Amino acid sequence: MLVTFSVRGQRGEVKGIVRDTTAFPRVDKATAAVIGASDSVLKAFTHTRKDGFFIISNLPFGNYILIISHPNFGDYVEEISLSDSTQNISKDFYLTSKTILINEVIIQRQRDIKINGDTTEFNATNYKLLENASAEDLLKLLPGIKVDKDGKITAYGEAVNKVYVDGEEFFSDDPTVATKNIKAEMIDKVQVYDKKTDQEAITGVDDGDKNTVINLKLKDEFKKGFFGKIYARVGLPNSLDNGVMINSFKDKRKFSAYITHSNIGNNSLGWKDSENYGTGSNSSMYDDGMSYSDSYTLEDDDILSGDAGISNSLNGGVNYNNKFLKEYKLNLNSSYGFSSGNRDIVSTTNTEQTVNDSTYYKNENEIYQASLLSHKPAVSLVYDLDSSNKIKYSINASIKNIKLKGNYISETLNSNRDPLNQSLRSIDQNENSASYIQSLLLSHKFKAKGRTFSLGVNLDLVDNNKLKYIGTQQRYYEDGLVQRMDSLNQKNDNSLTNQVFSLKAAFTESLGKKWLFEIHYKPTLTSNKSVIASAIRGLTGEYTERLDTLSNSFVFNTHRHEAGFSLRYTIKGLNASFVLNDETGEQQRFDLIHSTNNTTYHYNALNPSIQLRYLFKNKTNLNIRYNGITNQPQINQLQPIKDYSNPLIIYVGNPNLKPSYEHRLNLLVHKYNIRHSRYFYTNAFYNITQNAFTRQITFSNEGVTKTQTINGSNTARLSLWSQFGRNIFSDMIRVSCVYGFNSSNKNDILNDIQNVSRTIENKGGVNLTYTKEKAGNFSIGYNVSYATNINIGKVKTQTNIEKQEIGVSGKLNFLKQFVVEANYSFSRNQSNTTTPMTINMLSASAAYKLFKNKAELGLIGNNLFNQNSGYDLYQNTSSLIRSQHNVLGRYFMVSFLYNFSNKGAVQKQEEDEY
Amino acid sequence: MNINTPLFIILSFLLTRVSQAQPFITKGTITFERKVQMHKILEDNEWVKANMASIPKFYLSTFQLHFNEDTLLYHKVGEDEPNSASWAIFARENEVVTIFSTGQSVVKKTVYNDDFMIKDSLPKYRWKLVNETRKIAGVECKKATTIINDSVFVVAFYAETILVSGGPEQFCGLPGMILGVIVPRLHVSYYAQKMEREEKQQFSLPKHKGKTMKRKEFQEMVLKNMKWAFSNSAIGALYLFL
Repeated sequence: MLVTFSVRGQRGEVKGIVRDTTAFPRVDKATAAVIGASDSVLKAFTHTRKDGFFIISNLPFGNYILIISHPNFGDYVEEISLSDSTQNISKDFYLTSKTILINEVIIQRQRDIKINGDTTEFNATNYKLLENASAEDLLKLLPGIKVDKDGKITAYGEAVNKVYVDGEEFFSDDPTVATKNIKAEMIDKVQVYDKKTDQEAITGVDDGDKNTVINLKLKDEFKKGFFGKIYARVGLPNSLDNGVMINSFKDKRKFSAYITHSNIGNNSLGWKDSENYGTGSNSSMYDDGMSYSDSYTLEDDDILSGDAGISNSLNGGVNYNNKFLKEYKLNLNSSYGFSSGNRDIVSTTNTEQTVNDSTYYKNENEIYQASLLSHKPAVSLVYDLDSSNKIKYSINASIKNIKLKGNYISETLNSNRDPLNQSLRSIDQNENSASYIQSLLLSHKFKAKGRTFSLGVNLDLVDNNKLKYIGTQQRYYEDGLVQRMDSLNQKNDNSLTNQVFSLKAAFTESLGKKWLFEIHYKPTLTSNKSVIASAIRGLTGEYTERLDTLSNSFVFNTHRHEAGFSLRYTIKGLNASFVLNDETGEQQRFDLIHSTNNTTYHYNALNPSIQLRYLFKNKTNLNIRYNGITNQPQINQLQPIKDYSNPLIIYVGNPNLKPSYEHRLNLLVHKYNIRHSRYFYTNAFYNITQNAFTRQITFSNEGVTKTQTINGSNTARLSLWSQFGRNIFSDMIRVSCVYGFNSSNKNDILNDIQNVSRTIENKGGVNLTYTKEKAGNFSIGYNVSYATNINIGKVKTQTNIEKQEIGVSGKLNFLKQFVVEANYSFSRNQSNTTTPMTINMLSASAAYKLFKNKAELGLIGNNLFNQNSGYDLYQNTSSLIRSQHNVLGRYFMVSFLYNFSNKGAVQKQEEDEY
Repeated sequence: MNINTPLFIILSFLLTRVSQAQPFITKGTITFERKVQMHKILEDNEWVKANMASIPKFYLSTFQLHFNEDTLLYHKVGEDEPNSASWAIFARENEVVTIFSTGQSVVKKTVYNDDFMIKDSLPKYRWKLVNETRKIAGVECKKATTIINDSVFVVAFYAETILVSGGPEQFCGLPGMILGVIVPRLHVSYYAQKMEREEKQQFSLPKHKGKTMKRKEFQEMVLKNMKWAFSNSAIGALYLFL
């Protein structure tokens, strides 16, 4: 027959009596089948005897799913696991009569979710989608995963910056290339996990930050031949969105290419790199992840990282993956991507700022035109010399040019709404940047089990050059009368270089079956240089006069040595690890012009990390982790001169800034129940930062803000994200609830007075989805968030923001060839000082399928109420900010989509046709 | 020892006394219709392409499967509908006898006028169970998939109410009788049309002139000696491996 047991390994058995739940009579001729938990492959089966008894013996130890079925009863499904501790399973199994089930339907699923350590795996084939649905549509259905309208993905509240395909990078930078172009039906499994570095994967000790990634595992039958899609959409007013994507598989070779052109914002442009590289350490600008605007230094780029404005872009790329040599020892993955586009942004920002006991109002209008050209080649090579030696080399490069032109007008009013100042600014900026991130890893596995040696080398080179021409004119008022005027035309040549070299040697050794010991040493050399040359426009119109107060050269070098060890203990269900890392650093800060600013700073920190992971019998995963890390300042926080790009918002570096130290405590609970596809997920963080980077702000009575980063007192942050979901009534209706909580404390110094800003945010939502295979789906959701910001300075002030959103969406497939889809959302934002803003948005589309459903001809209407206005409301320490920017208005399009494939890839479709 | 494990499982339920309860069937005759999509098979054949219109789209044949708890007999019945391109398919009329108690099967394959007898243990399939059902000939069936010959994907639908682990051709090993098989790559499907509860009186081994060989031997022989068949009709030749 079919059983393919391995010869080795111990075996167990499962047996019992199958009974009817109503009066417990024994059920004969029920089929008892055991399938593999991971692959669903039938391992063995039998039928129950007349007395309801069955036995399946000789099963190798492992994880299985036991399915007991009978035509008169609903299926019984149970996950079973045979091991040393549970060699035999012997009990009674109860089947529920189908007549009872009509009221309480239990429909078994193959297995939706599997949780293995940090990895959550979804069985994609269990999610029923319409034809031509993309990976993005699939992700939207997975519990705990959210995809917003721009294609940005969050998994369990964490942003996902990378999407892998079969474990390989797929167009290095842009996750939407994979999610929008790969069809859902090609996907076998979706895995969500925290990406470890290659060296972490070898040593088994993870020491870094969380970096959540998604891996799409393709079905084998789709890894043959070629397939792809081509689409063209045009419409009024003046909208277009076109693209081609092809994929070709042959043996181990995988080739993909795409090109897209869009002026409706359907391209992610990568104005900003998704990864913050070049620092070589755990470096974050601020002590928390909440919206803490750093507008004084990055203002002009910042506006590009959002979704504001109207864009027009052309993107493309190729990805090539192949395995070479005997036994495919050499794996090459390479990609090249380019992006070219421009963006027009018009925005208005209204800020209400509380400074000690008075309130100021600031109104700003900005008009920007930006253009971008970027090239991103990447290569990675893995060479398996033999079973014990491995070499991996990778290089990721990015070469980018951003041009920006803008005009900016602002006014600041005092609490009586009398003007304090007015400002006109124009900016013309040309930025060139290049970065090369390289890594090399050598690893050796010794004969002794668990003994490994690995050596990792990283070399990062980042170069950024910004040439800015800034013209500013200011008027300062007192009692409604102009007191003073000034103007400045400056040229600002700002170059930043960043070099990081680090090496990590790690050795692991297993001590018995349960213990693993690791020891490592990691020296890191970083060199940062910031050169700012500012000049004023003279009478001739030439920028000849050097402005010494705004020019400087500053070097920030760090020599860091980390040494440490870790111990890991694993027994069934429990995984505990302890890491102790000693970090010694010497930081040299050289001010090449003002030598008084030269300082050398030594520091020493112990960075411990403790992690406990436990899997309970009832499939609840518990993960507790504590770690301590040192956060390094960035060079633009140190550069001691003023950043005078905006004379009303001045940033001054602090060459004496010391590293801050952060304690992070994390608790994660994850549970999944197969019977109702019920899951529960909670992730809580508590962070305390010592010596935290906080701000010293002076707000002059002319309305000028001057900010400097200083080491302040401790700050704390507590956040929680929790989600619960299950099927109700049947497996077609799914309900999920989300709850989130954030609380943070920040200590700024505002005009010499300690200002404590405490933000408490509660948010929750409920979502109901109805999915009927091949017919369509419908979902309705409600989300609400309530945030309170309390400032305790000279006086106590409080602002509240309430946001509500209702979303309704549906998709219907009828007469086999028609698909209609509509999305509606209602949002309402309000604070205690602003009037409520409500926005209704509706988009709808209809499509007709042609050529055996390979093609789709459709009509799209977007933003039909024409109410979208790019409105946002948020708070930032002592400010309440309302912003609005231009967005695409109402538009209509005609679309044509064609999916092409050769025979290898259409197999699945044919199978459905039979 | 391992090979005996599945046999033990099969025997354990075959030896169980089967009661008269209505939904369960342990013997009878199933009529299958085999449907081959000729146009798809000939798609790559350049010189046929021009005459495609003259070739009927489907090539239909009828097979019967007689079964009881120990034995299966699968053979062709009736004449095929004439199809001018039937040459493109090899081994069109396999005859299969499966005996569970010995774990053996005997297959007669006719390739042109040569008969080949393949006598071997029952083929082993790695079935994956899929949570999907379909009614075939009025019987509720569950879906399972497998891969044969390393790369050919097969979908099967089996009825748990028929307590015999058989199916058309040599497909077997599911917890019930297979009433539907689809092999997309070969553009072929087998669907049960009707079922009778009468048992065939006698099961006889196929008559043959040819030499008896093992399955592997046959496949090696085919790959070695029949390269011409693959160049003519690459897909049709794969029927030799069914």
